[in-house]
Amino acid sequence: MTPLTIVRGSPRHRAIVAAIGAVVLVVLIVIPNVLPSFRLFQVTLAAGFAIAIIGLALITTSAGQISLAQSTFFAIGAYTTAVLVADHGWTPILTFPVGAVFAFMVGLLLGLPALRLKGLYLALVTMAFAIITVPLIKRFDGLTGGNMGKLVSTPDPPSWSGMSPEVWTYAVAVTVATVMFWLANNIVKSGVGRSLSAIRHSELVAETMGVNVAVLKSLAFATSAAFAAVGGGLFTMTVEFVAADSFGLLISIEFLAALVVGGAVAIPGAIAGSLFIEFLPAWASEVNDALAGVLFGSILILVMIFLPDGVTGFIKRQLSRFVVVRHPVVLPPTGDRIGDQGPVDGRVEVEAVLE
Amino acid sequence: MTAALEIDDVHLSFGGVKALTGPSFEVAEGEICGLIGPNGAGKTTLFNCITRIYEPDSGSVRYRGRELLGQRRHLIPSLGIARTFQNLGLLSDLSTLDNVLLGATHRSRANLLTSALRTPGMRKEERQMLCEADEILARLGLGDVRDTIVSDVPFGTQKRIELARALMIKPRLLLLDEPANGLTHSEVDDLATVLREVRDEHDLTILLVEHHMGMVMSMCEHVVVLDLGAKIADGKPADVSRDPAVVTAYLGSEAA
Repeated sequence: MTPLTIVRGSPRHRAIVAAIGAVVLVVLIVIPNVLPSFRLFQVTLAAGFAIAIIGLALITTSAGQISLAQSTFFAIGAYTTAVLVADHGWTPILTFPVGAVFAFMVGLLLGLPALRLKGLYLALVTMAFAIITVPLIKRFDGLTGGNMGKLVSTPDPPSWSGMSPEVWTYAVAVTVATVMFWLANNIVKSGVGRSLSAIRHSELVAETMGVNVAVLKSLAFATSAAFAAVGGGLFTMTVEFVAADSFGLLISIEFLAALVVGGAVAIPGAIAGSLFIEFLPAWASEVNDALAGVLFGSILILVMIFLPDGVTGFIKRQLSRFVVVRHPVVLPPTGDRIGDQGPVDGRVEVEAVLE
Repeated sequence: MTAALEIDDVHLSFGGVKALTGPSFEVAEGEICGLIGPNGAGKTTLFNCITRIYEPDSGSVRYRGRELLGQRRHLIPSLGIARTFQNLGLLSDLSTLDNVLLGATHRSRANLLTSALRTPGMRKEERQMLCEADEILARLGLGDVRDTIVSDVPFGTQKRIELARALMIKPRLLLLDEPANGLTHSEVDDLATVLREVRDEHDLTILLVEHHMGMVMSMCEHVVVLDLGAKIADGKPADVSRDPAVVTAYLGSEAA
């Protein structure tokens, strides 16, 4: 059977994207109405993690750079929100851009080694960042609350929303995650995303093709840091408490694991992976508390054996037997080379959810 | 005719191995120049010096009178110089179209922020690039594999995709490293035809490293022969092929 070809931006493609969007929207609206409050809390947490993992996907899945510093930037966002909300009375949402900008700048600074290092060396240096993060948080306990942690009571939801605090937090988390998803997806699908892929393939080829590898790598690193900070800010808003030990190296490793499980399709993979790392350990400890680690580890191994390119890689391969989404052929205005189709305005504007 | 490319006494050694021992020659504007020589002669090494992958120990490489040594590697495409790689430098898990679009990187004004926000200017640029890429793909007969992942495409076609990507740079000087390697006879003939046409259409200067002598002799107006890092002959194809030094380099000398 020949697969059905869908041209990106065609009416059919728009309809499919709209239909998928509608289904997702309905699911997102139904979730707070049917899930018990602890499950809702977990979904909200997963949205925060997903943003940090999406950021990681930009440099790891796209550009092939392994970073273990994502926990550092997650902490920067979490504490920016904690301090601004608890000590200065800010509204949580307004603190996210502050944390993002702060983490972006720190990311640029720490990313300087990324100019020179790659592979395991970069992983090692970023691991060092992750390791010193927790002691640093404890050292500045006047600001951060250190070991004891810091309570962050968030203000009540605005009365016009008519939502309970937890549903409001959920709504904010999902909205912010959607915006970040859109931004990251745009990057991955753009020429900049292509340049990132070129870096993953070969820095030499990338440079020969005109990619300023050093600059793009450090900017991408800083951007992924900003994403992690937004995720961290949401974490604080959701948990309403931050403590140093929540931001250890393990978080970074979990983010990487989520990416691998999520798989080869950068952005949807990040979301699948975040649900995996949020729900699977919890589910495993409900099944049997003593065996939780074994269960989690075993499933991780099984996924790697049977889905080597992750959940989304698997889905993409299966789907590609039936549906192929491709760029439209955009011909010059004269259109005299192949056929008579004129220029097709706006055809590339809609993102392919399927791809 | 003015020289598009001047190679002037370029020396390069790797440890004790002298890869280039001072070859000098000029490639005139608009000509197809063959760069030939036995394996290990230093042809690809010289390519790598021109495209700033290797740093020569001494000498000068000038493009339209401008010194290339000292230029940063990623700026070479914006000077109008494009190259292909001997062992293919394609992104194997991306589509043909994406690979070709990569060639437009140096002309793109999009950055991380405008890409993330999909600004109107950035979308317009994307459409423009897509349009150019489709023209080049059609020109090289690659329309059928446009949306195919490169690793699923036959080797000969991959070579053409790399050529398409180099053309997407919109070069004035095109450096081709063994484009006919691994192609069938008819593919080689097609390639020679396309290269000549493309040269005429885009006012290109082409420097061609190739082992396929038939192709070199038929399509080059000028041939430079390297052996052991030095130039041993330089002239019209017919003269070069009769040059005793060239014959010796290729076939060995008597009693050797």
